[in-house]
Amino acid sequence: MRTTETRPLHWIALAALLLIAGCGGPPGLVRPNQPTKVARIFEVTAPNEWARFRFYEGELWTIDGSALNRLLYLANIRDKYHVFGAGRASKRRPDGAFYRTGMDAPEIEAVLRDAITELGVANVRTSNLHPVAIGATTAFRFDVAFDLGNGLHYLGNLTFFERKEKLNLIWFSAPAEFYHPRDAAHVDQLLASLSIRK
Amino acid sequence: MNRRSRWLALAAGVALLCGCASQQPLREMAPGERPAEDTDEAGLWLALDQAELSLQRSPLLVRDPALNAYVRKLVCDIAGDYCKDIRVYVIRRPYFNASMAPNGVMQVWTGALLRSENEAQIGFVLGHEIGHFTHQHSIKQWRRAKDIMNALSLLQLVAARSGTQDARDIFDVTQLVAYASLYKYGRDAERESDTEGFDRAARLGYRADQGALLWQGLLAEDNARDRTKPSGVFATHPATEERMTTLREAAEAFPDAGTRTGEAEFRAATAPFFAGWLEDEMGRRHYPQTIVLLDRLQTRASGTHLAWIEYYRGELFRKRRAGGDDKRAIDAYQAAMRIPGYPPIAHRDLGFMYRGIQMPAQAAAEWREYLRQVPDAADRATIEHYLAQATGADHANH
Repeated sequence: MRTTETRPLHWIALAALLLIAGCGGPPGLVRPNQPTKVARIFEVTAPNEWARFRFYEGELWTIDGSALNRLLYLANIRDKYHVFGAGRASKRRPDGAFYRTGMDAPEIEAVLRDAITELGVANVRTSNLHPVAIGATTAFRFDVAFDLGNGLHYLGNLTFFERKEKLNLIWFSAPAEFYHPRDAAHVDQLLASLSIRK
Repeated sequence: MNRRSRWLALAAGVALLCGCASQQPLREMAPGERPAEDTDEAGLWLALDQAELSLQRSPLLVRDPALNAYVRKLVCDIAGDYCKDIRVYVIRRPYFNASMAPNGVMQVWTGALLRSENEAQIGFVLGHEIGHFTHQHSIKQWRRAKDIMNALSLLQLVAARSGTQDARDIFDVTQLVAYASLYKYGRDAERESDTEGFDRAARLGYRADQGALLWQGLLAEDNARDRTKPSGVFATHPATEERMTTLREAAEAFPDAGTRTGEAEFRAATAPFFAGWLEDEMGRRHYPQTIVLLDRLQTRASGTHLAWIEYYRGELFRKRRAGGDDKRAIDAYQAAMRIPGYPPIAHRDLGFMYRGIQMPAQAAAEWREYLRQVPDAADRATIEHYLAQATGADHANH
């Protein structure tokens, strides 16, 4: 009966990132309790050890594999660009999960929610949007929950801020069973240490 | 016969083979029967039964018992004796779609429910899917695809063995023709199911013009699409315009047209989901199509549904940011607020609209009203942050 297209963006964005990460050679290591610069924008001190995969304008950190715990850093997302790197707004494709300079925090939350849905996950829910002071910068953070087709339920949070009219974000996600309860406090500690390059 | 002629003859043979494909007889499709275990169809059913187990675990499944019972009853009314063969799954996806697997798994997407105005319209859609089931379109298409792929594999081997450019060219053309014939078969099956859906809904006394009206709405959305449309030769479905015209003509020729639409029952069953389905629709970010849909929904909506439509119209314009959208968004939010029972979040987002056009005092007034109406809002800290920006920290506590 189908008459309208479904978007061909499923998995493209994140899969592309992971592919790039995977092609980037062996992972580096984030050593505990040492300040670590990420994507030339962020600096964090992780209380535990993470594997890190670098790619253009971002990094992917994981402990047990990206399906089990994932910290995704994306930096310098420009005006009219898809928040997960799936192209730029154009005349043929004017609408989509594109970042626009000057968006308010709830609007960015909605864009990120729609972009996460585009990845092919289900029941994406965001809540508890609130400002977070990081030095002189006001960032915002919200909680994210979603389900995978295999039945896994994921929890996490997403922190974002604008710098020089570009969007930067850190997205933590892990399965609600075992991994999120185990890792959430460490990630909170890591995020509390976050500083932003001026 | 020269080499080129031989190749043409071979290609014609393959084309003939493709044309004759899937002449294997279909089984009697009696209600309650499964295919015999020693058939290819039984193998297909086995795989689909496994897929159904995954579907039952899918997080996209809408599990609300009342909605499922309602859709299930509609399917049973329309399917008649085949009711017991069909399992219905409502899937949370904001696109217009429904599907039917040969083992009796029917999927109905929430986008199809949102776009239907009454039972007569969704009944036509369900009847169409039942038509696929009773005519065994999937198994026919599956066998046809297998036969064509086998023939093409054989031709490819011969072409590779020959090694000439002529052979490769002819193989490429034959392959295109074969694929186009597959798609054409699919479109013919859709036409047959349209007729079946129409007949089944009309025989139950539903108004015969409702299928065409549904397609009229879908055609308007399709025409508003700002993305490239697929080529007609490789389209999986007939053109929407053709389907609408065919159904309209069928309705005009139908001798005993009923008057029933089942609008009240349909609304009662779907009302609790209306706002959520609209939110999912907004998440597609296909704004030109969504505007057409909102316009259509608005003609029949009332009460809080109308308020939600106006609210999401405001959201659409605020997010789209095209020329003149600022005023359109403000007008839409304010229209929503004039309707009793409107969502308080309209104040929050009207506030952000005012902020975007440098009207901080008006923004602050809207945010205060939002926090007054929803004192325990989960995003209170964020709103207070913007309120402080708009009015100065001293005023934020008022």
